Amino acid sequence: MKRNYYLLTIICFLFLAACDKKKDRVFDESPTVRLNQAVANAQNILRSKPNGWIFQYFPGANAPYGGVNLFVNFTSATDVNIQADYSTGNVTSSYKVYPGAGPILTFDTYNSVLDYFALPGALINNLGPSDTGLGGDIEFLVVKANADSVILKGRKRNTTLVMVPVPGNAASVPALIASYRASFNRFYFANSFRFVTPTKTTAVSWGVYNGLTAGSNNYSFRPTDTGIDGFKEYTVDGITFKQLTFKAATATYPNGYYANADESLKLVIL
Amino acid sequence: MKFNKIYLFLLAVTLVINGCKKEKLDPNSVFVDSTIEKNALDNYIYNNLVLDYNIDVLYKYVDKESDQNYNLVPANYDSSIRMTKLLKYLGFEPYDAVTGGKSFIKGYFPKLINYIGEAAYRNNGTRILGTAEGARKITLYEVNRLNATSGVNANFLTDSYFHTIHHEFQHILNQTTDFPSSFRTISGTSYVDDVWVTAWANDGAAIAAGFISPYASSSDKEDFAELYSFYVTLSATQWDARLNATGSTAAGRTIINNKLILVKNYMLTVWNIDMDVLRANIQARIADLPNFNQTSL
Repeated sequence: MKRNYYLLTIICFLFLAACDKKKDRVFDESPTVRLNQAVANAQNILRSKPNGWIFQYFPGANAPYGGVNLFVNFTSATDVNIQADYSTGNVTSSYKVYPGAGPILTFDTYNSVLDYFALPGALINNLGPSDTGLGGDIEFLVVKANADSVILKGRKRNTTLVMVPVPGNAASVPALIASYRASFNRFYFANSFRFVTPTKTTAVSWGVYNGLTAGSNNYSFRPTDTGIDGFKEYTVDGITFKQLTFKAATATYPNGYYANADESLKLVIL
Repeated sequence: MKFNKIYLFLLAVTLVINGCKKEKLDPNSVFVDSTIEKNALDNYIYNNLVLDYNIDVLYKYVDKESDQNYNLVPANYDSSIRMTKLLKYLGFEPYDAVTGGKSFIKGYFPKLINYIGEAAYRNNGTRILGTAEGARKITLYEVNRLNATSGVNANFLTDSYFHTIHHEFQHILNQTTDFPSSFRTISGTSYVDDVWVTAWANDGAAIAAGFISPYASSSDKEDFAELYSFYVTLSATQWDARLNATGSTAAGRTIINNKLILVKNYMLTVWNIDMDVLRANIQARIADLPNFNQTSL
Protein backbone atom coordinates (compact mmCIF):
# COMPACT_ATOMS: atom_id res chain seq x y z
CA MET A 1 0.00 0.00 0.00
CA LYS A 2 2.83 2.34 0.68
CA ARG A 3 3.57 2.54 -2.97
CA ASN A 4 0.04 3.79 -3.62
CA TYR A 5 0.66 6.82 -1.45
CA TYR A 6 3.69 7.64 -3.55
CA LEU A 7 1.52 7.33 -6.60
CA LEU A 8 -1.04 9.67 -5.06
CA THR A 9 1.64 12.15 -4.19
CA ILE A 10 2.88 12.15 -7.75
CA ILE A 11 -0.66 12.64 -9.06
CA CYS A 12 -1.05 15.54 -6.67
CA PHE A 13 2.03 17.19 -8.03
CA LEU A 14 0.66 16.72 -11.50
CA PHE A 15 -2.54 18.50 -10.41
CA LEU A 16 -0.55 21.33 -8.94
CA ALA A 17 1.33 21.71 -12.18
CA ALA A 18 -1.89 21.62 -14.15
CA CYS A 19 -3.21 24.42 -12.01
CA ASP A 20 -1.10 27.09 -13.61
CA LYS A 21 -3.63 29.17 -15.47
CA LYS A 22 -1.41 32.02 -16.44
CA LYS A 23 -1.27 31.92 -20.20
CA ASP A 24 -0.39 34.70 -22.52
CA ARG A 25 -3.51 36.07 -24.19
CA VAL A 26 -3.46 36.09 -27.95
CA PHE A 27 -5.15 39.48 -27.82
CA ASP A 28 -4.70 42.08 -25.11
CA GLU A 29 -8.39 42.95 -24.89
CA SER A 30 -11.31 40.70 -24.05
CA PRO A 31 -13.43 39.42 -26.96
CA THR A 32 -16.32 41.74 -26.07
CA VAL A 33 -14.11 44.80 -26.02
CA ARG A 34 -12.67 43.86 -29.39
CA LEU A 35 -16.14 43.17 -30.83
CA ASN A 36 -17.38 46.53 -29.58
CA GLN A 37 -14.33 48.18 -31.14
CA ALA A 38 -15.09 46.45 -34.44
CA VAL A 39 -18.70 47.69 -34.26
CA ALA A 40 -17.56 51.24 -33.49
CA ASN A 41 -14.98 51.05 -36.28
CA ALA A 42 -17.56 49.83 -38.82
CA GLN A 43 -19.98 52.58 -37.79
CA ASN A 44 -17.28 55.25 -38.04
CA ILE A 45 -16.17 54.07 -41.49
CA LEU A 46 -19.75 53.96 -42.78
CA ARG A 47 -20.36 57.50 -41.55
CA SER A 48 -17.01 58.84 -42.74
CA LYS A 49 -18.11 59.39 -46.36
CA PRO A 50 -20.20 62.56 -46.78
CA ASN A 51 -21.16 61.44 -50.31
CA GLY A 52 -22.02 57.97 -49.10
CA TRP A 53 -21.26 54.63 -50.69
CA ILE A 54 -22.05 52.80 -53.90
CA PHE A 55 -23.48 49.50 -52.68
CA GLN A 56 -22.90 46.95 -55.47
CA TYR A 57 -25.99 44.94 -54.66
CA PHE A 58 -26.75 41.49 -56.05
CA PRO A 59 -29.90 39.94 -54.53
CA GLY A 60 -30.25 36.20 -53.89
CA ALA A 61 -27.74 33.47 -53.06
CA ASN A 62 -24.78 33.65 -55.47
CA ALA A 63 -26.50 36.32 -57.56
CA PRO A 64 -29.01 34.32 -59.65
CA TYR A 65 -30.48 37.60 -60.91
CA GLY A 66 -28.82 40.78 -62.07
CA GLY A 67 -27.32 43.44 -59.83
CA VAL A 68 -28.03 47.08 -59.11
CA ASN A 69 -26.22 50.03 -57.54
CA LEU A 70 -27.61 51.47 -54.34
CA PHE A 71 -26.37 54.91 -53.31
CA VAL A 72 -26.30 54.58 -49.55
CA ASN A 73 -25.52 57.56 -47.36
CA PHE A 74 -25.30 57.11 -43.59
CA THR A 75 -26.30 60.62 -42.58
CA SER A 76 -26.46 60.22 -38.80
CA ALA A 77 -25.98 57.59 -36.11
CA THR A 78 -29.42 56.19 -36.98
CA ASP A 79 -30.49 57.58 -40.36
CA VAL A 80 -29.58 56.28 -43.80
CA ASN A 81 -30.60 57.73 -47.16
CA ILE A 82 -30.83 55.32 -50.08
CA GLN A 83 -31.13 56.06 -53.80
CA ALA A 84 -30.61 53.62 -56.64
CA ASP A 85 -29.99 53.28 -60.36
CA TYR A 86 -33.02 51.03 -60.90
CA SER A 87 -35.58 53.49 -59.52
CA THR A 88 -35.98 57.21 -58.92
CA GLY A 89 -36.76 56.63 -55.23
CA ASN A 90 -34.97 58.72 -52.61
CA VAL A 91 -35.87 57.32 -49.20
CA THR A 92 -34.53 57.86 -45.70
CA SER A 93 -34.92 55.14 -43.10
CA SER A 94 -32.92 53.84 -40.14
CA TYR A 95 -29.93 51.54 -39.73
CA LYS A 96 -27.91 50.10 -36.90
CA VAL A 97 -24.57 48.35 -36.49
CA TYR A 98 -24.75 45.80 -33.70
CA PRO A 99 -22.50 43.04 -32.42
CA GLY A 100 -23.14 39.45 -33.51
CA ALA A 101 -20.68 37.07 -35.13
CA GLY A 102 -18.95 40.36 -35.96
CA PRO A 103 -20.33 43.83 -36.61
CA ILE A 104 -23.75 43.41 -38.25
CA LEU A 105 -25.22 46.18 -40.39
CA THR A 106 -29.02 46.07 -40.36
CA PHE A 107 -31.44 48.32 -42.25
CA ASP A 108 -34.09 48.03 -39.56
CA THR A 109 -37.00 50.16 -40.77
CA TYR A 110 -38.65 49.86 -44.16
CA ASN A 111 -36.86 51.48 -47.08
CA SER A 112 -38.68 50.87 -50.36
CA VAL A 113 -35.48 51.29 -52.43
CA LEU A 114 -33.58 48.52 -50.60
CA ASP A 115 -36.47 46.36 -49.39
CA TYR A 116 -37.89 45.91 -52.90
CA PHE A 117 -35.43 43.02 -53.21
CA ALA A 118 -36.45 41.51 -49.86
CA LEU A 119 -40.21 41.57 -50.46
CA PRO A 120 -42.01 38.26 -51.04
CA GLY A 121 -42.44 37.50 -54.74
CA ALA A 122 -46.23 37.73 -54.32
CA LEU A 123 -45.82 41.49 -53.75
CA ILE A 124 -43.46 42.24 -56.68
CA ASN A 125 -45.36 40.71 -59.63
CA ASN A 126 -44.04 37.24 -58.76
CA LEU A 127 -40.45 38.05 -59.61
CA GLY A 128 -38.80 35.01 -58.05
CA PRO A 129 -40.71 32.53 -55.84
CA SER A 130 -43.88 33.82 -54.11
CA ASP A 131 -42.30 33.54 -50.64
CA THR A 132 -38.66 34.54 -51.12
CA GLY A 133 -38.98 36.92 -54.07
CA LEU A 134 -35.60 38.10 -55.32
CA GLY A 135 -33.97 37.01 -52.07
CA GLY A 136 -32.41 40.34 -51.14
CA ASP A 137 -30.75 40.62 -47.76
CA ILE A 138 -31.40 43.45 -45.32
CA GLU A 139 -28.85 42.38 -42.71
CA PHE A 140 -25.16 42.07 -43.44
CA LEU A 141 -22.10 40.90 -41.59
CA VAL A 142 -19.37 43.52 -41.98
CA VAL A 143 -16.47 41.33 -43.07
CA LYS A 144 -14.04 44.20 -43.61
CA ALA A 145 -14.39 47.94 -43.31
CA ASN A 146 -11.81 50.51 -44.34
CA ALA A 147 -11.80 53.87 -46.07
CA ASP A 148 -11.54 52.29 -49.56
CA SER A 149 -14.23 49.68 -49.35
CA VAL A 150 -16.62 47.84 -47.06
CA ILE A 151 -17.11 44.13 -47.64
CA LEU A 152 -20.47 42.79 -46.50
CA LYS A 153 -21.92 39.32 -46.37
CA GLY A 154 -25.71 38.88 -46.50
CA ARG A 155 -26.89 37.02 -43.42
CA LYS A 156 -29.61 34.98 -45.11
CA ARG A 157 -28.10 34.33 -48.56
CA ASN A 158 -24.40 34.50 -47.71
CA THR A 159 -23.63 36.55 -50.80
CA THR A 160 -20.50 38.67 -50.46
CA LEU A 161 -21.17 42.26 -51.53
CA VAL A 162 -19.00 45.35 -51.77
CA MET A 163 -19.54 49.03 -51.01
CA VAL A 164 -17.13 51.61 -52.43
CA PRO A 165 -17.16 55.34 -51.70
CA VAL A 166 -19.13 57.59 -54.05
CA PRO A 167 -16.41 59.55 -55.90
CA GLY A 168 -16.38 63.32 -56.42
CA ASN A 169 -17.96 65.93 -54.20
CA ALA A 170 -21.46 66.72 -53.00
CA ALA A 171 -22.16 68.83 -56.10
CA SER A 172 -21.21 66.07 -58.55
CA VAL A 173 -23.20 63.28 -56.89
CA PRO A 174 -26.55 63.96 -58.62
CA ALA A 175 -24.88 63.85 -62.04
CA LEU A 176 -23.13 60.61 -61.14
CA ILE A 177 -26.38 58.99 -60.02
CA ALA A 178 -28.03 60.24 -63.23
CA SER A 179 -25.31 58.62 -65.34
CA TYR A 180 -25.74 55.33 -63.45
CA ARG A 181 -29.49 55.51 -64.06
CA ALA A 182 -28.93 56.15 -67.78
CA SER A 183 -26.56 53.19 -67.93
CA PHE A 184 -29.04 50.98 -66.06
CA ASN A 185 -31.85 51.92 -68.46
CA ARG A 186 -29.65 51.28 -71.53
CA PHE A 187 -28.87 47.80 -70.25
CA TYR A 188 -32.30 46.99 -68.88
CA PHE A 189 -34.28 48.11 -71.91
CA ALA A 190 -32.31 46.03 -74.42
CA ASN A 191 -34.45 43.36 -76.07
CA SER A 192 -31.71 40.73 -75.97
CA PHE A 193 -27.96 40.35 -76.47
CA ARG A 194 -25.36 38.34 -78.33
CA PHE A 195 -21.83 37.35 -77.26
CA VAL A 196 -19.44 37.88 -80.17
CA THR A 197 -15.88 36.46 -80.03
CA PRO A 198 -13.42 35.88 -82.88
CA THR A 199 -14.60 32.26 -83.09
CA LYS A 200 -18.23 32.18 -82.15
CA THR A 201 -21.52 34.01 -81.72
CA THR A 202 -23.84 33.08 -78.81
CA ALA A 203 -27.41 34.25 -78.29
CA VAL A 204 -28.08 35.76 -74.82
CA SER A 205 -31.57 36.33 -73.41
CA TRP A 206 -33.04 37.81 -70.25
CA GLY A 207 -33.45 35.66 -67.15
CA VAL A 208 -35.38 36.76 -64.06
CA TYR A 209 -35.09 40.47 -63.20
CA ASN A 210 -31.95 41.67 -65.02
CA GLY A 211 -30.06 38.39 -65.05
CA LEU A 212 -28.83 37.03 -68.39
CA THR A 213 -28.85 33.45 -69.68
CA ALA A 214 -27.09 31.80 -72.62
CA GLY A 215 -27.95 28.11 -72.90
CA SER A 216 -27.33 26.63 -69.45
CA ASN A 217 -25.08 29.50 -68.34
CA ASN A 218 -26.31 32.38 -66.21
CA TYR A 219 -24.63 35.76 -66.04
CA SER A 220 -25.24 38.41 -63.45
CA PHE A 221 -24.21 41.94 -64.37
CA ARG A 222 -24.47 45.26 -62.63
CA PRO A 223 -24.62 48.30 -64.91
CA THR A 224 -21.93 50.89 -64.08
CA ASP A 225 -21.39 54.42 -65.34
CA THR A 226 -18.94 53.11 -67.97
CA GLY A 227 -20.50 49.77 -68.88
CA ILE A 228 -21.33 46.63 -66.93
CA ASP A 229 -19.56 44.70 -64.17
CA GLY A 230 -19.99 40.97 -63.52
CA PHE A 231 -20.80 39.49 -60.12
CA LYS A 232 -17.70 37.34 -60.72
CA GLU A 233 -15.36 36.49 -63.59
CA TYR A 234 -17.06 34.73 -66.48
CA THR A 235 -15.50 32.81 -69.36
CA VAL A 236 -17.02 32.74 -72.83
CA ASP A 237 -15.20 30.81 -75.61
CA GLY A 238 -12.03 30.78 -73.52
CA ILE A 239 -12.08 34.54 -72.93
CA THR A 240 -12.32 35.50 -69.27
CA PHE A 241 -13.79 38.85 -68.32
CA LYS A 242 -15.51 40.69 -65.49
CA GLN A 243 -15.89 44.32 -66.56
CA LEU A 244 -17.10 45.37 -69.98
CA THR A 245 -17.08 48.93 -71.32
CA PHE A 246 -19.96 50.42 -73.30
CA LYS A 247 -19.13 51.36 -76.89
CA ALA A 248 -21.39 53.65 -78.88
CA ALA A 249 -23.33 52.50 -81.92
CA THR A 250 -21.45 51.59 -85.12
CA ALA A 251 -22.67 50.55 -88.57
CA THR A 252 -22.24 46.85 -87.63
CA TYR A 253 -23.76 47.26 -84.16
CA PRO A 254 -26.49 49.92 -84.45
CA ASN A 255 -27.51 49.66 -80.76
CA GLY A 256 -23.97 49.74 -79.42
CA TYR A 257 -22.19 47.01 -77.45
CA TYR A 258 -20.21 46.21 -74.33
CA ALA A 259 -16.61 45.01 -74.85
CA ASN A 260 -13.52 43.97 -72.91
CA ALA A 261 -10.24 45.93 -73.18
CA ASP A 262 -8.99 44.47 -76.48
CA GLU A 263 -12.53 44.04 -77.84
CA SER A 264 -11.95 40.31 -78.31
CA LEU A 265 -15.28 39.77 -76.57
CA LYS A 266 -18.37 41.83 -77.27
CA LEU A 267 -21.80 41.71 -75.68
CA VAL A 268 -23.87 43.20 -78.46
CA ILE A 269 -27.17 44.95 -77.69
CA LEU A 270 -30.01 43.78 -79.94
CA MET B 1 -6.78 4.17 9.40
CA LYS B 2 -5.54 3.46 5.94
CA PHE B 3 -8.65 4.97 4.33
CA ASN B 4 -8.72 7.91 6.67
CA LYS B 5 -5.26 8.85 5.55
CA ILE B 6 -6.25 8.64 1.93
CA TYR B 7 -9.24 10.88 2.54
CA LEU B 8 -7.10 13.31 4.47
CA PHE B 9 -4.71 13.36 1.59
CA LEU B 10 -7.45 13.92 -0.96
CA LEU B 11 -8.87 16.73 1.16
CA ALA B 12 -5.49 18.37 1.33
CA VAL B 13 -5.09 18.04 -2.40
CA THR B 14 -8.51 19.58 -3.01
CA LEU B 15 -7.61 22.47 -0.77
CA VAL B 16 -4.40 23.00 -2.65
CA ILE B 17 -6.17 22.91 -6.00
CA ASN B 18 -8.82 25.34 -4.87
CA GLY B 19 -6.14 27.52 -3.43
CA CYS B 20 -4.86 27.91 -6.95
CA LYS B 21 -7.68 30.19 -8.07
CA LYS B 22 -6.01 33.51 -7.87
CA GLU B 23 -7.95 35.50 -10.46
CA LYS B 24 -10.42 38.01 -9.10
CA LEU B 25 -13.75 38.55 -10.81
CA ASP B 26 -13.96 41.69 -12.88
CA PRO B 27 -16.77 43.85 -11.50
CA ASN B 28 -17.63 45.00 -15.04
CA SER B 29 -19.69 42.73 -17.28
CA VAL B 30 -18.00 41.56 -20.45
CA PHE B 31 -21.24 42.26 -22.30
CA VAL B 32 -21.41 45.93 -23.07
CA ASP B 33 -24.64 47.16 -24.62
CA SER B 34 -24.30 49.79 -27.26
CA THR B 35 -26.38 52.91 -26.84
CA ILE B 36 -28.66 54.08 -29.62
CA GLU B 37 -30.05 57.61 -29.84
CA LYS B 38 -33.73 57.66 -28.97
CA ASN B 39 -36.15 59.23 -31.40
CA ALA B 40 -39.67 60.56 -30.81
CA LEU B 41 -41.33 57.15 -31.24
CA ASP B 42 -38.80 55.47 -28.92
CA ASN B 43 -39.65 58.03 -26.26
CA TYR B 44 -43.39 57.64 -26.82
CA ILE B 45 -43.14 53.85 -26.47
CA TYR B 46 -41.06 54.18 -23.31
CA ASN B 47 -43.28 56.78 -21.65
CA ASN B 48 -46.66 55.35 -22.66
CA LEU B 49 -46.22 51.61 -23.04
CA VAL B 50 -43.13 50.52 -21.10
CA LEU B 51 -43.75 52.67 -18.03
CA ASP B 52 -47.55 52.36 -17.98
CA TYR B 53 -48.07 48.79 -19.14
CA ASN B 54 -44.64 47.11 -18.97
CA ILE B 55 -45.04 46.36 -22.67
CA ASP B 56 -42.30 47.00 -25.22
CA VAL B 57 -42.75 47.49 -28.94
CA LEU B 58 -40.12 46.40 -31.46
CA TYR B 59 -40.91 48.53 -34.47
CA LYS B 60 -37.38 48.25 -35.79
CA TYR B 61 -36.61 44.87 -37.30
CA VAL B 62 -34.81 42.58 -34.85
CA ASP B 63 -33.59 39.48 -36.61
CA LYS B 64 -33.64 37.13 -33.64
CA GLU B 65 -37.18 38.13 -32.64
CA SER B 66 -38.54 37.50 -36.14
CA ASP B 67 -39.57 34.28 -37.82
CA GLN B 68 -36.52 32.91 -39.65
CA ASN B 69 -38.64 30.72 -41.93
CA TYR B 70 -39.97 33.66 -43.90
CA ASN B 71 -38.67 36.53 -45.95
CA LEU B 72 -39.70 39.50 -43.87
CA VAL B 73 -39.29 43.22 -44.37
CA PRO B 74 -39.23 45.84 -41.59
CA ALA B 75 -42.12 48.11 -40.73
CA ASN B 76 -41.77 51.70 -41.85
CA TYR B 77 -41.48 54.49 -39.32
CA ASP B 78 -44.71 56.37 -40.12
CA SER B 79 -46.88 53.25 -40.06
CA SER B 80 -45.22 52.21 -36.81
CA ILE B 81 -46.29 55.49 -35.20
CA ARG B 82 -49.90 54.92 -36.29
CA MET B 83 -49.83 51.29 -35.13
CA THR B 84 -48.44 52.19 -31.72
CA LYS B 85 -50.93 54.98 -31.12
CA LEU B 86 -53.85 52.83 -32.31
CA LEU B 87 -52.66 49.92 -30.19
CA LYS B 88 -52.97 52.04 -27.08
CA TYR B 89 -56.23 53.70 -28.17
CA LEU B 90 -58.13 50.64 -29.45
CA GLY B 91 -56.26 47.82 -27.76
CA PHE B 92 -55.36 48.86 -24.22
CA GLU B 93 -57.47 51.83 -23.18
CA PRO B 94 -60.84 50.02 -23.55
CA TYR B 95 -59.64 47.51 -20.96
CA ASP B 96 -58.38 50.35 -18.74
CA ALA B 97 -61.81 51.98 -18.91
CA VAL B 98 -63.70 48.76 -18.13
CA THR B 99 -61.41 47.51 -15.35
CA GLY B 100 -60.78 50.97 -13.90
CA GLY B 101 -56.99 50.98 -14.23
CA LYS B 102 -53.91 49.97 -16.17
CA SER B 103 -53.03 47.02 -13.96
CA PHE B 104 -55.12 44.53 -15.94
CA ILE B 105 -53.24 45.02 -19.21
CA LYS B 106 -49.99 45.43 -17.32
CA GLY B 107 -50.54 42.13 -15.55
CA TYR B 108 -51.71 39.92 -18.37
CA PHE B 109 -51.00 41.33 -21.83
CA PRO B 110 -47.94 39.89 -23.69
CA LYS B 111 -44.83 41.87 -22.90
CA LEU B 112 -43.45 42.25 -26.40
CA ILE B 113 -45.12 43.41 -29.58
CA ASN B 114 -43.15 42.95 -32.78
CA TYR B 115 -44.02 44.87 -35.97
CA ILE B 116 -43.30 43.39 -39.41
CA GLY B 117 -43.82 45.41 -42.59
CA GLU B 118 -45.54 42.86 -44.82
CA ALA B 119 -47.14 39.47 -44.29
CA ALA B 120 -45.09 36.29 -43.97
CA TYR B 121 -45.70 34.51 -47.27
CA ARG B 122 -45.57 30.74 -47.65
CA ASN B 123 -44.36 29.24 -50.93
CA ASN B 124 -47.97 28.42 -51.90
CA GLY B 125 -48.86 32.12 -51.77
CA THR B 126 -50.88 32.01 -48.51
CA ARG B 127 -49.81 34.38 -45.78
CA ILE B 128 -49.68 34.90 -42.02
CA LEU B 129 -51.20 38.05 -40.51
CA GLY B 130 -50.47 37.65 -36.83
CA THR B 131 -48.89 35.21 -34.41
CA ALA B 132 -48.50 34.90 -30.66
CA GLU B 133 -45.76 32.98 -28.91
CA GLY B 134 -46.61 31.67 -25.49
CA ALA B 135 -47.90 34.47 -23.34
CA ARG B 136 -44.94 36.62 -24.15
CA LYS B 137 -44.98 38.05 -27.63
CA ILE B 138 -47.43 39.10 -30.33
CA THR B 139 -46.17 39.68 -33.87
CA LEU B 140 -48.25 41.97 -36.09
CA TYR B 141 -47.67 41.70 -39.82
CA GLU B 142 -48.60 44.05 -42.70
CA VAL B 143 -47.97 47.13 -40.56
CA ASN B 144 -46.86 48.98 -43.72
CA ARG B 145 -50.44 48.79 -45.02
CA LEU B 146 -51.41 51.26 -42.32
CA ASN B 147 -51.74 54.80 -43.73
CA ALA B 148 -53.99 57.86 -43.54
CA THR B 149 -56.83 56.07 -45.39
CA SER B 150 -56.63 52.59 -43.87
CA GLY B 151 -55.97 54.07 -40.42
CA VAL B 152 -59.57 55.29 -40.14
CA ASN B 153 -61.08 52.20 -41.80
CA ALA B 154 -62.48 50.34 -38.80
CA ASN B 155 -63.03 47.09 -40.70
CA PHE B 156 -59.45 47.10 -41.95
CA LEU B 157 -58.08 47.76 -38.47
CA THR B 158 -60.18 45.01 -36.93
CA ASP B 159 -59.45 42.41 -39.61
CA SER B 160 -55.74 43.15 -39.92
CA TYR B 161 -54.69 43.79 -36.34
CA PHE B 162 -57.22 44.04 -33.53
CA HIS B 163 -59.06 40.78 -34.09
CA THR B 164 -55.71 39.03 -33.65
CA ILE B 165 -54.80 41.11 -30.61
CA HIS B 166 -58.02 40.36 -28.72
CA HIS B 167 -57.94 36.72 -29.84
CA GLU B 168 -54.40 36.12 -28.58
CA PHE B 169 -55.07 38.06 -25.40
CA GLN B 170 -58.02 35.75 -24.67
CA HIS B 171 -55.70 32.74 -24.96
CA ILE B 172 -53.47 34.24 -22.31
CA LEU B 173 -56.40 34.88 -19.99
CA ASN B 174 -57.43 31.23 -20.52
CA GLN B 175 -53.93 30.05 -19.68
CA THR B 176 -54.11 32.00 -16.42
CA THR B 177 -57.58 30.75 -15.46
CA ASP B 178 -59.08 28.08 -17.67
CA PHE B 179 -62.62 28.50 -19.00
CA PRO B 180 -65.32 26.09 -17.67
CA SER B 181 -65.21 22.60 -19.13
CA SER B 182 -68.94 22.82 -19.91
CA PHE B 183 -67.92 24.97 -22.89
CA ARG B 184 -66.11 22.01 -24.42
CA THR B 185 -69.18 19.81 -24.32
CA ILE B 186 -71.37 22.10 -26.42
CA SER B 187 -69.61 21.48 -29.72
CA GLY B 188 -67.95 18.32 -28.35
CA THR B 189 -67.04 16.15 -31.28
CA SER B 190 -67.69 18.75 -33.98
CA TYR B 191 -64.17 20.22 -33.82
CA VAL B 192 -62.28 19.35 -36.98
CA ASP B 193 -58.69 20.25 -36.02
CA ASP B 194 -56.47 21.25 -38.99
CA VAL B 195 -59.18 20.47 -41.54
CA TRP B 196 -60.82 23.81 -40.64
CA VAL B 197 -59.08 25.30 -43.70
CA THR B 198 -61.10 23.17 -46.12
CA ALA B 199 -64.02 22.00 -43.98
CA TRP B 200 -66.33 24.92 -44.69
CA ALA B 201 -67.39 26.34 -48.03
CA ASN B 202 -67.86 29.79 -46.48
CA ASP B 203 -68.41 31.56 -43.16
CA GLY B 204 -72.13 30.73 -43.33
CA ALA B 205 -71.42 27.00 -43.44
CA ALA B 206 -69.30 27.32 -40.28
CA ILE B 207 -72.11 29.31 -38.59
CA ALA B 208 -74.59 26.56 -39.50
CA ALA B 209 -72.32 24.09 -37.67
CA GLY B 210 -72.20 26.36 -34.63
CA PHE B 211 -68.85 28.09 -35.20
CA ILE B 212 -68.42 31.86 -35.42
CA SER B 213 -65.63 31.42 -38.02
CA PRO B 214 -63.99 28.50 -39.85
CA TYR B 215 -60.94 28.82 -37.59
CA ALA B 216 -63.15 28.51 -34.49
CA SER B 217 -63.86 24.92 -35.53
CA SER B 218 -60.24 23.88 -35.07
CA SER B 219 -60.46 23.41 -31.27
CA ASP B 220 -62.42 24.50 -28.20
CA LYS B 221 -59.63 26.95 -27.23
CA GLU B 222 -59.72 28.67 -30.62
CA ASP B 223 -63.52 28.60 -30.56
CA PHE B 224 -63.54 30.41 -27.23
CA ALA B 225 -61.02 33.04 -28.37
CA GLU B 226 -62.77 33.58 -31.71
CA LEU B 227 -66.16 34.07 -30.07
CA TYR B 228 -64.66 36.56 -27.67
CA SER B 229 -62.69 38.48 -30.27
CA PHE B 230 -65.49 38.71 -32.82
CA TYR B 231 -67.99 39.77 -30.16
CA VAL B 232 -65.93 42.63 -28.69
CA THR B 233 -64.58 43.95 -32.02
CA LEU B 234 -67.81 43.88 -34.05
CA SER B 235 -70.75 46.23 -33.58
CA ALA B 236 -74.13 44.68 -32.78
CA THR B 237 -75.16 45.15 -36.42
CA GLN B 238 -71.99 43.53 -37.76
CA TRP B 239 -72.31 40.67 -35.28
CA ASP B 240 -75.90 39.99 -36.38
CA ALA B 241 -74.90 40.18 -40.03
CA ARG B 242 -72.15 37.66 -39.38
CA LEU B 243 -74.56 35.27 -37.65
CA ASN B 244 -76.97 35.58 -40.55
CA ALA B 245 -74.42 35.11 -43.33
CA THR B 246 -75.49 33.16 -46.40
CA GLY B 247 -75.64 29.47 -45.56
CA SER B 248 -76.15 29.96 -41.83
CA THR B 249 -78.98 28.27 -39.93
CA ALA B 250 -81.03 29.04 -36.81
CA ALA B 251 -79.74 25.84 -35.22
CA GLY B 252 -76.16 27.01 -35.72
CA ARG B 253 -76.97 30.43 -34.26
CA THR B 254 -78.45 28.78 -31.16
CA ILE B 255 -75.24 26.81 -30.57
CA ILE B 256 -73.16 29.97 -30.97
CA ASN B 257 -75.38 31.95 -28.63
CA ASN B 258 -75.24 29.19 -26.01
CA LYS B 259 -71.45 29.24 -26.18
CA LEU B 260 -71.37 33.03 -26.10
CA ILE B 261 -73.28 32.99 -22.80
CA LEU B 262 -70.48 30.92 -21.28
CA VAL B 263 -67.81 33.24 -22.71
CA LYS B 264 -69.56 36.31 -21.30
CA ASN B 265 -70.08 34.59 -17.98
CA TYR B 266 -66.40 33.58 -17.80
CA MET B 267 -65.21 37.14 -18.52
CA LEU B 268 -67.59 38.56 -15.93
CA THR B 269 -66.99 36.11 -13.08
CA VAL B 270 -63.26 35.47 -13.56
CA TRP B 271 -62.05 38.85 -14.83
CA ASN B 272 -64.89 41.14 -13.82
CA ILE B 273 -65.25 42.39 -17.39
CA ASP B 274 -68.68 42.89 -18.90
CA MET B 275 -68.14 42.13 -22.58
CA ASP B 276 -71.04 44.36 -23.59
CA VAL B 277 -69.51 47.31 -21.77
CA LEU B 278 -66.13 46.55 -23.36
CA ARG B 279 -67.70 46.27 -26.80
CA ALA B 280 -69.58 49.56 -26.33
CA ASN B 281 -66.32 51.25 -25.32
CA ILE B 282 -64.48 49.89 -28.37
CA GLN B 283 -67.35 50.88 -30.69
CA ALA B 284 -67.37 54.42 -29.27
CA ARG B 285 -63.64 54.66 -29.94
CA ILE B 286 -64.07 53.32 -33.48
CA ALA B 287 -66.80 55.90 -34.12
CA ASP B 288 -64.40 58.59 -32.90
CA LEU B 289 -61.49 57.40 -35.09
CA PRO B 290 -61.64 60.39 -37.49
CA ASN B 291 -60.95 62.68 -34.51
CA PHE B 292 -58.15 60.57 -33.11
CA ASN B 293 -54.69 61.88 -33.98
CA GLN B 294 -52.61 58.89 -35.08
CA THR B 295 -49.51 60.74 -36.13
CA SER B 296 -48.53 63.12 -33.32
CA LEU B 297 -46.21 61.80 -30.65
